[in-house]
Amino acid sequence: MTGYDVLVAGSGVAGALIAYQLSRAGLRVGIVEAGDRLYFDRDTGADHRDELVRRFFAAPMKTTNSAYPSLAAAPSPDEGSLNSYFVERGPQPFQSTYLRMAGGTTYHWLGTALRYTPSTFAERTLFGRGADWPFSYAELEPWYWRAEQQLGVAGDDRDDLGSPRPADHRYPMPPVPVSYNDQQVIRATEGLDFEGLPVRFRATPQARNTMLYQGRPACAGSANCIPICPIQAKYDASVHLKRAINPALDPDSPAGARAAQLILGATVAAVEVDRSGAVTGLRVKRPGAEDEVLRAGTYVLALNAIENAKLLLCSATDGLAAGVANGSGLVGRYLMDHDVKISYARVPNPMYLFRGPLSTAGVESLRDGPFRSDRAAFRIELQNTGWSWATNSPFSTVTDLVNQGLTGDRLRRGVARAVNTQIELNGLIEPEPNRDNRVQPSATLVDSLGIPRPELSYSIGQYSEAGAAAFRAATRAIYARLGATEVGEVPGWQGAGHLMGTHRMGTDPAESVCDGYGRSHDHPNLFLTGSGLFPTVDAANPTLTIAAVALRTADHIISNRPATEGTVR
Amino acid sequence: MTEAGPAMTRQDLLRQLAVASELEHGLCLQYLFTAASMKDSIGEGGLTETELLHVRAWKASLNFIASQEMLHLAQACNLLAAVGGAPHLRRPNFPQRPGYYPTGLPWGLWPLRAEVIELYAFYERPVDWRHRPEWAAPGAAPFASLLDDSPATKDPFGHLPAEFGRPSATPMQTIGQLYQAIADAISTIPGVIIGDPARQLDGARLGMPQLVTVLDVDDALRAIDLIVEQGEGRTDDRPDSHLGAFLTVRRELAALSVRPGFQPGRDVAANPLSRLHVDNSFPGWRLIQDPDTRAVNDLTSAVYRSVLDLLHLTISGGDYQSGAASLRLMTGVLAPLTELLTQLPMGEDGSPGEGRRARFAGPSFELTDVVPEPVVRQVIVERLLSYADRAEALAARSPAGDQLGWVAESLREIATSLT
Repeated sequence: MTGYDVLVAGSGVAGALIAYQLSRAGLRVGIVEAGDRLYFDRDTGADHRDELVRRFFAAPMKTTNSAYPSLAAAPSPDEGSLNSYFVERGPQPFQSTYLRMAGGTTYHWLGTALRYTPSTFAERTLFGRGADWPFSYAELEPWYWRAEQQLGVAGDDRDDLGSPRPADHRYPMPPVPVSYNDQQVIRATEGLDFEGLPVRFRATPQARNTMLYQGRPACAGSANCIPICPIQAKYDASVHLKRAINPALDPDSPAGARAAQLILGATVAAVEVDRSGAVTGLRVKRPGAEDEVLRAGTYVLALNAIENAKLLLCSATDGLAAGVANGSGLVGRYLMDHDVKISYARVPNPMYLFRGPLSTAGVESLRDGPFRSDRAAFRIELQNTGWSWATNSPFSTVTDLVNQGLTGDRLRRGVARAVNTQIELNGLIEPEPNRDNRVQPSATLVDSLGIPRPELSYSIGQYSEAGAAAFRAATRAIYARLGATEVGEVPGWQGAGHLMGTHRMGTDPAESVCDGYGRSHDHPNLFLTGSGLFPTVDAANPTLTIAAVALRTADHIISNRPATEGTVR
Repeated sequence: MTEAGPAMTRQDLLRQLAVASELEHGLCLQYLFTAASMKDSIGEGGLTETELLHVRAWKASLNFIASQEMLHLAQACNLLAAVGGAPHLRRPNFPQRPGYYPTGLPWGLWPLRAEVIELYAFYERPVDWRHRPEWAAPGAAPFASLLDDSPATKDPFGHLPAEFGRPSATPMQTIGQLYQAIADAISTIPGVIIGDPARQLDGARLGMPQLVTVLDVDDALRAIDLIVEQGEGRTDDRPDSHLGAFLTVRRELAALSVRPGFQPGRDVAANPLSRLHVDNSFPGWRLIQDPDTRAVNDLTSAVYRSVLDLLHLTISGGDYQSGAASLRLMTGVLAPLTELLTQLPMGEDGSPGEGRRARFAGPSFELTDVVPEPVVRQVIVERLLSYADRAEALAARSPAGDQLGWVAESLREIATSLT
């Protein structure tokens, strides 16, 4: 007897979307979540993020996780103390973080919702590097479009940014207006080429309301998207989580929808498999309680690329010594991030910053080309907040000017002038999949529940270094057009918060962990989801692709469910 | 659908589109006024941090809906141009009698309170409003208290024999009915589209990507459809329409008001005015007594007038640099000035009841000058520079000197961008 038709581990964007779709189809869905509480009212849907906003205000360090509690039973990594949860083995640190809470890391994401370029799905074929995806861009395109509707993406229909879309696959909302800052850069770089490609700054598609959508308000320009949008104008997965567990909150809920059961405060410690290779349950741990095994017909692991891989490897038994779903030996390998270069300069005229979201425009025209055989592609994100990431401005600017003796009105005007002439361009560099970049369960270090902590081996290769050099050259050309001075670059690399790779999908069971729907090659009732599936990645932020792939997986599960499961819509 | 009446002529259609323009324009200003009356920080008192987050979201919603009314106004301009008319950017000063527009609803500038949000919900209600909250039961007029300061006046047209009818801007009781009638007229008047396509505003260049260029009947109906959908929604239970947003604000406001001491809005006067105008024939206004506040309000009204003039230049001459400047004026000058005004004192004239009157003023958006719209940018540049001088002079003697100083700088920058 199984308790659920489908058990979904994790309630971030992938897990919440899949649970939502399955619950709409009438399946009995359970959602296992390590986070121990909700930040919304499950009956009315009312949002309760005030506690999170207060926590952010009070935090001395404004990191990406500073609005959120790190649970003793399920810690979240934080930039301020990466090694308190990660076990970093180097040679370079893995600097990206995530949230273990209901709704997941979308609470603190920027909201950028780009599609990957078609070439990304066939990099081995086209560029002789990485691996091909098990499906093409054309196959994913309808799911991208559905994902844009679900997440509420604001974008410009007139510009496909290198990812073609049928004329009727329009964005659900008009684009976030480009800021004054953006307009100046767009104007200054008209006609600029880099290595034969146009440098085109354009409005960035983003899952941020420019209209009333899903009962959420339009963006009010709080310029606080990371770590938390105070009014939920930015999408987060609580939108779909609340609809999954309470279909009455979904204005388009079909008659046969069935509320998913949410199990909070339960950390999945192991995936149990029987001798036939079928997954039979998820063993969960709670503080001070006996372990419990939750059972279903089908299982979906939607934690994230690090936690999914760690869980599969932690689930090793005598019969599966390499871990669950690891016949290929690739679980945990090919860990990727978008390694970030931060470039900054000073422009002659004020840019009037801090209006609108943190970023509203970027360059997507340098993300694809034959050069990807030799060096990484990159995208450029133009910040609306000056040197905020580069130097912690405006706080650092105030300190600098006080140290120069400015006070009172001179200080106020000095800060306004200094901050408003800052420009920051961030380069998200496409990584090359590296088999040695990996996550493993630590053999010696465990969390408070006794679950091994993630041990990370990570290095940034020549492919990325060459991409960074190209990014540097492109930004210099842009700064020259702007007449900028004081050009600088933050030394080293930063993390983008994009956990990718670690359980790649593919058609060959020897070279991949699961198929194109995320179904394990080894265990037919086990699905993996999230950006851990991605064999290669574009230079673009991954969340929209995570959502598109998750929706495709949900549809596959619904279409192939046993006749005894759920009800027909 | 509305009851079948006599078929509209082109002249009728032009008039109804002008009325639609006035309604969109006026509602935009009303929503902006209410949004500006909302508090911004717990330092203002009356709010916990949790409550402040709600107020921030309400303010965002009202400002957003106001921006969509601007879009609808621009859309009405394109519709007017398409059927052979000129843009209509004029309107009466606030307040006006409920019968001025035969929606029969109060028409004025009010700070945040439940009744005001209820009024806005009524403005945005669909023709067939089925999912009504209790306070909006048929026949209810929950916002009647907004006219408490307007003593019942004698019907100025009561002496007219019945056959003369009563003056009214349009016979439609809801805005939905008005647009339905406009759509019907566009569908039935033969050869209705006669305007010069060059007179159509280009939304992409104006920063309004949803603006429909009206070149044929299908475009016109699509444009009206968009306005109706955004306003009242396709069905009346959609949370993402203006109506849905107001119902959300009203519901949350009621829930939070249970706490004694909860005060989400500033103590702002209804319908403040710097001075009376010939069209201020309905009571309910209150004159700003404080001379400095009155000067800031005059400056605000003058800048608002310049926004309209720049829009007029854009529409009539395809001058999109002026259009961009108007947007900068709205966000960089009008927005801070309206916020400032809701924190500046009304002042007192010594009459009885001083302690019961609201303390702070607000933007009255007065239209005073009887002057033609400029057709040469230089006229506006000169005005903006003179406004910058006024702002600087005010800054020198005002406790709000910082804000006014920034306003002066922005005015100069924008004026420079137009030269």
